[in-house]
Amino acid sequence: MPCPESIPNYLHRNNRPKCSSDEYLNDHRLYSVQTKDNPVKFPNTLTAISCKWSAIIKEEDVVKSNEPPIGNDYKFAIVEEVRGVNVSIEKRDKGTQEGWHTLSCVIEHAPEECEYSHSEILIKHVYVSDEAGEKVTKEHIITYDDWVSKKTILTKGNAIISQLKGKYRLELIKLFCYPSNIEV
Amino acid sequence: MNDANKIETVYMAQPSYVYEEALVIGTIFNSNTASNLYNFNTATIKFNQFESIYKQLKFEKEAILDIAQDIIEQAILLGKELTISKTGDNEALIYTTSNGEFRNIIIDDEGNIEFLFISANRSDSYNEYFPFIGDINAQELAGKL
Repeated sequence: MPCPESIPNYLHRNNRPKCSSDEYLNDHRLYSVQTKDNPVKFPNTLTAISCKWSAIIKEEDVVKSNEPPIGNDYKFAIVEEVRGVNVSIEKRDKGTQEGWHTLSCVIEHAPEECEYSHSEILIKHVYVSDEAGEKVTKEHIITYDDWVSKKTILTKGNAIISQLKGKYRLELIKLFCYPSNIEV
Repeated sequence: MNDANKIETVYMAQPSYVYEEALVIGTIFNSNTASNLYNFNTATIKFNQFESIYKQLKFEKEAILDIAQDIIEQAILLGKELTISKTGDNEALIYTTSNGEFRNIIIDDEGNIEFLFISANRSDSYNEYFPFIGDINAQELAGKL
Protein backbone atom coordinates (compact mmCIF):
# COMPACT_ATOMS: atom_id res chain seq x y z
CA MET A 1 0.00 0.00 0.00
CA PRO A 2 1.48 3.40 -0.97
CA CYS A 3 2.32 5.93 1.73
CA PRO A 4 -0.10 8.87 2.08
CA GLU A 5 0.92 11.91 0.01
CA SER A 6 0.99 14.08 3.12
CA ILE A 7 4.08 12.23 4.39
CA PRO A 8 7.29 13.54 2.79
CA ASN A 9 9.01 11.12 0.38
CA TYR A 10 12.28 11.02 2.27
CA LEU A 11 10.47 9.46 5.27
CA HIS A 12 9.23 6.48 3.26
CA ARG A 13 11.22 3.40 4.18
CA ASN A 14 11.77 2.11 0.64
CA ASN A 15 13.42 -1.11 1.85
CA ARG A 16 16.09 0.74 3.81
CA PRO A 17 17.56 -1.35 6.66
CA LYS A 18 16.95 -0.94 10.36
CA CYS A 19 19.72 1.14 11.99
CA SER A 20 21.66 0.04 15.03
CA SER A 21 21.36 1.74 18.42
CA ASP A 22 24.99 2.91 18.13
CA GLU A 23 23.95 5.22 15.30
CA TYR A 24 21.99 7.36 17.75
CA LEU A 25 24.53 10.02 18.72
CA ASN A 26 24.35 11.70 22.10
CA ASP A 27 23.36 15.08 20.66
CA HIS A 28 20.56 13.68 18.52
CA ARG A 29 16.98 14.45 19.44
CA LEU A 30 13.99 12.20 19.90
CA TYR A 31 10.75 13.96 19.06
CA SER A 32 7.45 13.05 20.65
CA VAL A 33 4.23 14.37 19.14
CA GLN A 34 2.06 15.75 21.92
CA THR A 35 -1.63 15.16 22.18
CA LYS A 36 -3.86 16.97 24.63
CA ASP A 37 -4.47 13.71 26.40
CA ASN A 38 -2.92 12.51 29.64
CA PRO A 39 0.52 11.00 28.87
CA VAL A 40 -0.02 8.09 31.27
CA LYS A 41 -3.46 7.18 29.97
CA PHE A 42 -4.08 3.98 28.00
CA PRO A 43 -2.86 3.06 25.35
CA ASN A 44 0.49 4.69 26.30
CA THR A 45 2.74 2.14 27.96
CA LEU A 46 5.91 2.36 29.98
CA THR A 47 7.99 0.55 27.38
CA ALA A 48 8.11 0.98 23.60
CA ILE A 49 7.66 4.75 23.85
CA SER A 50 7.13 5.97 20.33
CA CYS A 51 9.32 8.82 19.02
CA LYS A 52 11.03 10.19 15.91
CA TRP A 53 14.76 10.39 15.32
CA SER A 54 16.33 13.72 14.37
CA ALA A 55 19.04 12.03 12.26
CA ILE A 56 16.35 11.21 9.72
CA ILE A 57 13.36 13.47 10.20
CA LYS A 58 13.42 17.24 9.72
CA GLU A 59 12.01 19.11 12.68
CA GLU A 60 9.41 20.86 10.53
CA ASP A 61 8.02 17.48 9.44
CA VAL A 62 7.54 15.97 12.89
CA VAL A 63 3.88 16.85 13.22
CA LYS A 64 2.98 15.96 9.62
CA SER A 65 4.65 12.56 9.71
CA ASN A 66 1.58 10.79 11.05
CA GLU A 67 -1.45 10.02 8.93
CA PRO A 68 -3.97 10.70 10.33
CA PRO A 69 -2.28 13.40 12.47
CA ILE A 70 -2.04 12.57 16.17
CA GLY A 71 -1.25 16.06 17.49
CA ASN A 72 -0.22 19.53 16.43
CA ASP A 73 2.82 20.08 18.62
CA TYR A 74 5.79 18.12 19.88
CA LYS A 75 8.43 18.05 22.58
CA PHE A 76 11.81 16.43 22.38
CA ALA A 77 14.39 14.61 24.48
CA ILE A 78 18.15 14.49 24.00
CA VAL A 79 19.63 11.04 23.36
CA GLU A 80 22.38 11.56 25.95
CA GLU A 81 19.77 12.28 28.63
CA VAL A 82 17.70 9.27 27.60
CA ARG A 83 20.80 7.10 27.97
CA GLY A 84 21.40 8.63 31.41
CA VAL A 85 18.17 7.33 32.92
CA ASN A 86 18.94 4.78 35.61
CA VAL A 87 16.62 3.99 38.50
CA SER A 88 17.21 1.24 41.04
CA ILE A 89 15.56 -0.34 44.01
CA GLU A 90 16.46 -3.15 46.36
CA LYS A 91 13.73 -5.75 46.75
CA ARG A 92 13.93 -7.48 50.15
CA ASP A 93 10.38 -8.52 50.95
CA LYS A 94 10.76 -12.29 51.29
CA GLY A 95 9.00 -12.59 47.92
CA THR A 96 10.24 -13.74 44.55
CA GLN A 97 13.19 -12.15 42.74
CA GLU A 98 14.82 -10.54 45.74
CA GLY A 99 17.85 -8.41 44.96
CA TRP A 100 18.63 -5.21 43.07
CA HIS A 101 16.41 -4.17 40.18
CA THR A 102 17.59 -1.42 37.84
CA LEU A 103 15.72 0.12 34.93
CA SER A 104 17.32 2.12 32.14
CA CYS A 105 16.45 3.10 28.59
CA VAL A 106 17.42 1.45 25.33
CA ILE A 107 16.76 3.31 22.10
CA GLU A 108 15.78 1.11 19.19
CA HIS A 109 15.13 2.00 15.57
CA ALA A 110 11.63 0.76 14.73
CA PRO A 111 11.12 1.94 11.14
CA GLU A 112 7.64 1.95 9.69
CA GLU A 113 6.81 1.78 5.98
CA CYS A 114 5.83 5.45 5.85
CA GLU A 115 8.02 6.75 8.69
CA TYR A 116 11.62 5.63 8.56
CA SER A 117 12.68 7.75 11.55
CA HIS A 118 10.29 5.98 13.92
CA SER A 119 12.07 4.80 17.07
CA GLU A 120 11.14 3.32 20.41
CA ILE A 121 12.47 3.70 23.92
CA LEU A 122 12.46 0.29 25.57
CA ILE A 123 13.03 -0.60 29.20
CA LYS A 124 16.21 -2.46 30.03
CA HIS A 125 15.68 -4.37 33.27
CA VAL A 126 18.79 -5.57 35.09
CA TYR A 127 18.25 -7.86 38.03
CA VAL A 128 21.13 -8.77 40.35
CA SER A 129 20.46 -11.54 42.83
CA ASP A 130 22.57 -13.31 45.42
CA GLU A 131 22.56 -17.03 44.73
CA ALA A 132 24.54 -19.10 47.23
CA GLY A 133 26.81 -16.14 47.92
CA GLU A 134 27.41 -15.37 44.26
CA LYS A 135 26.02 -12.39 42.41
CA VAL A 136 23.99 -13.40 39.39
CA THR A 137 23.02 -10.74 36.84
CA LYS A 138 20.12 -11.11 34.44
CA GLU A 139 19.19 -8.59 31.75
CA HIS A 140 15.95 -8.26 29.87
CA ILE A 141 15.04 -5.68 27.26
CA ILE A 142 11.30 -5.39 27.51
CA THR A 143 9.41 -5.13 24.25
CA TYR A 144 5.81 -4.06 23.86
CA ASP A 145 4.78 -7.71 23.42
CA ASP A 146 6.59 -8.71 26.63
CA TRP A 147 4.71 -5.97 28.40
CA VAL A 148 1.21 -6.77 27.22
CA SER A 149 1.70 -10.50 27.71
CA LYS A 150 3.08 -9.78 31.22
CA LYS A 151 6.37 -11.59 30.63
CA THR A 152 8.14 -9.43 33.18
CA ILE A 153 8.03 -8.92 36.93
CA LEU A 154 7.41 -5.23 36.19
CA THR A 155 3.81 -5.99 35.30
CA LYS A 156 3.10 -7.61 38.66
CA GLY A 157 1.61 -5.51 41.43
CA ASN A 158 4.42 -5.84 43.96
CA ALA A 159 4.76 -2.75 46.20
CA ILE A 160 8.52 -2.38 45.68
CA ILE A 161 8.37 -3.00 41.95
CA SER A 162 5.47 -0.53 41.66
CA GLN A 163 7.64 2.08 43.28
CA LEU A 164 10.46 1.35 40.82
CA LYS A 165 8.07 1.62 37.87
CA GLY A 166 6.79 4.92 39.23
CA LYS A 167 10.34 6.31 39.42
CA TYR A 168 11.03 5.21 35.86
CA ARG A 169 7.75 6.62 34.55
CA LEU A 170 8.54 9.98 36.13
CA GLU A 171 12.01 10.07 34.55
CA LEU A 172 10.53 9.37 31.13
CA ILE A 173 7.95 12.12 31.49
CA LYS A 174 10.64 14.59 32.52
CA LEU A 175 12.87 13.65 29.58
CA PHE A 176 10.53 15.05 26.96
CA CYS A 177 10.68 18.57 28.35
CA TYR A 178 12.15 20.55 25.44
CA PRO A 179 9.48 22.40 23.50
CA SER A 180 9.44 22.69 19.71
CA ASN A 181 11.84 25.22 18.14
CA ILE A 182 14.17 25.55 21.10
CA GLU A 183 17.96 25.49 20.94
CA VAL A 184 19.68 23.29 23.53
CA MET B 1 -32.81 14.72 62.18
CA ASN B 2 -30.11 12.12 62.64
CA ASP B 3 -27.59 11.33 59.92
CA ALA B 4 -29.33 8.19 58.74
CA ASN B 5 -32.55 10.12 58.12
CA LYS B 6 -30.71 12.81 56.21
CA ILE B 7 -29.16 10.19 53.94
CA GLU B 8 -32.56 8.62 53.38
CA THR B 9 -33.89 12.01 52.23
CA VAL B 10 -31.14 12.22 49.64
CA TYR B 11 -31.84 8.74 48.34
CA MET B 12 -35.54 9.47 47.92
CA ALA B 13 -34.69 12.24 45.48
CA GLN B 14 -32.61 10.04 43.16
CA PRO B 15 -33.60 8.18 40.00
CA SER B 16 -33.89 4.43 40.49
CA TYR B 17 -30.40 3.52 39.22
CA VAL B 18 -28.91 5.78 41.86
CA TYR B 19 -31.09 4.08 44.43
CA GLU B 20 -29.29 0.83 43.76
CA GLU B 21 -25.96 2.47 44.41
CA ALA B 22 -27.14 4.05 47.61
CA LEU B 23 -25.59 1.40 49.78
CA VAL B 24 -22.33 1.47 47.83
CA ILE B 25 -21.65 5.17 48.00
CA GLY B 26 -20.62 6.36 51.39
CA THR B 27 -22.42 8.54 53.83
CA ILE B 28 -20.75 11.87 53.34
CA PHE B 29 -23.40 13.54 51.18
CA ASN B 30 -25.87 13.77 53.99
CA SER B 31 -28.18 16.65 53.32
CA ASN B 32 -30.71 17.36 50.62
CA THR B 33 -29.36 20.64 49.30
CA ALA B 34 -29.16 20.87 45.50
CA SER B 35 -25.38 20.99 45.68
CA ASN B 36 -25.14 17.81 47.69
CA LEU B 37 -27.57 16.04 45.41
CA TYR B 38 -25.37 16.97 42.49
CA ASN B 39 -22.29 15.74 44.37
CA PHE B 40 -24.03 12.51 45.24
CA ASN B 41 -25.00 11.85 41.62
CA THR B 42 -21.54 12.75 40.35
CA ALA B 43 -19.79 10.55 42.90
CA THR B 44 -22.11 7.67 42.00
CA ILE B 45 -21.39 8.00 38.30
CA LYS B 46 -17.63 8.28 38.85
CA PHE B 47 -17.60 5.32 41.21
CA ASN B 48 -19.53 3.23 38.67
CA GLN B 49 -16.93 4.14 36.07
CA PHE B 50 -14.17 3.11 38.46
CA GLU B 51 -15.88 -0.19 39.17
CA SER B 52 -16.06 -0.85 35.45
CA ILE B 53 -12.30 -0.19 35.08
CA TYR B 54 -11.67 -2.44 38.12
CA LYS B 55 -13.49 -5.26 36.33
CA GLN B 56 -11.77 -4.59 32.99
CA LEU B 57 -8.37 -4.80 34.69
CA LYS B 58 -9.43 -8.01 36.45
CA PHE B 59 -8.50 -6.61 39.85
CA GLU B 60 -9.47 -8.89 42.72
CA LYS B 61 -8.66 -6.91 45.83
CA GLU B 62 -11.96 -5.43 47.01
CA ALA B 63 -10.18 -2.98 49.29
CA ILE B 64 -9.26 -1.10 46.10
CA LEU B 65 -12.94 -0.29 45.56
CA ASP B 66 -13.18 1.10 49.10
CA ILE B 67 -10.05 3.20 48.58
CA ALA B 68 -11.31 4.55 45.27
CA GLN B 69 -14.76 5.27 46.68
CA ASP B 70 -13.27 7.33 49.51
CA ILE B 71 -10.98 9.27 47.19
CA ILE B 72 -13.77 9.93 44.67
CA GLU B 73 -16.21 11.12 47.35
CA GLN B 74 -13.67 13.44 48.94
CA ALA B 75 -12.53 14.82 45.59
CA ILE B 76 -16.11 15.54 44.48
CA LEU B 77 -16.73 17.32 47.78
CA LEU B 78 -13.68 19.45 47.03
CA GLY B 79 -15.19 20.34 43.65
CA LYS B 80 -12.68 18.40 41.52
CA GLU B 81 -13.58 17.49 37.94
CA LEU B 82 -12.49 13.87 37.85
CA THR B 83 -11.77 11.63 34.90
CA ILE B 84 -11.72 7.89 35.54
CA SER B 85 -9.60 5.76 33.23
CA LYS B 86 -6.69 3.32 33.18
CA THR B 87 -3.01 3.52 32.31
CA GLY B 88 -1.42 1.41 29.58
CA ASP B 89 0.29 -0.46 32.38
CA ASN B 90 -2.70 -2.22 33.91
CA GLU B 91 -3.43 0.36 36.59
CA ALA B 92 -6.58 2.28 37.45
CA LEU B 93 -6.31 6.02 36.92
CA ILE B 94 -8.18 8.92 38.53
CA TYR B 95 -7.10 12.33 37.32
CA THR B 96 -7.83 16.00 36.87
CA THR B 97 -6.46 18.25 34.16
CA SER B 98 -5.93 21.97 33.87
CA ASN B 99 -3.82 24.10 31.50
CA GLY B 100 -1.80 21.17 30.20
CA GLU B 101 -1.11 19.80 33.68
CA PHE B 102 -2.32 16.44 34.93
CA ARG B 103 -2.81 15.35 38.54
CA ASN B 104 -3.01 11.58 38.63
CA ILE B 105 -3.82 8.99 41.23
CA ILE B 106 -2.67 5.62 39.92
CA ILE B 107 -3.74 2.43 41.69
CA ASP B 108 -2.26 -0.97 40.86
CA ASP B 109 -3.78 -4.42 41.38
CA GLU B 110 -2.34 -4.66 44.90
CA GLY B 111 -3.81 -1.33 45.98
CA ASN B 112 -0.49 0.53 45.91
CA ILE B 113 -1.08 4.17 45.09
CA GLU B 114 1.07 6.66 43.23
CA PHE B 115 0.27 10.34 43.02
CA LEU B 116 1.86 11.71 39.84
CA PHE B 117 1.86 15.39 38.95
CA ILE B 118 2.70 16.05 35.31
CA SER B 119 3.56 19.70 34.76
CA ALA B 120 2.87 21.53 31.51
CA ASN B 121 6.59 21.74 30.74
CA ARG B 122 7.14 18.17 32.00
CA SER B 123 10.45 18.89 33.78
CA ASP B 124 8.78 19.97 37.04
CA SER B 125 6.78 16.75 37.29
CA TYR B 126 7.00 14.78 40.52
CA ASN B 127 5.45 11.79 42.21
CA GLU B 128 4.70 10.41 45.66
CA TYR B 129 4.21 6.79 46.54
CA PHE B 130 1.76 5.26 49.02
CA PRO B 131 2.15 1.49 49.45
CA PHE B 132 -1.02 -0.43 50.27
CA ILE B 133 -1.67 -0.46 54.00
CA GLY B 134 -5.42 -1.00 53.98
CA ASP B 135 -6.17 2.43 55.36
CA ILE B 136 -5.45 5.66 53.54
CA ASN B 137 -6.00 9.33 54.13
CA ALA B 138 -8.50 9.83 51.31
CA GLN B 139 -8.93 13.52 52.06
CA GLU B 140 -5.21 14.16 51.72
CA LEU B 141 -5.00 12.23 48.46
CA ALA B 142 -8.13 13.86 47.05
CA GLY B 143 -6.67 17.24 47.91
CA LYS B 144 -3.71 16.51 45.64
CA LEU B 145 -5.92 16.01 42.60
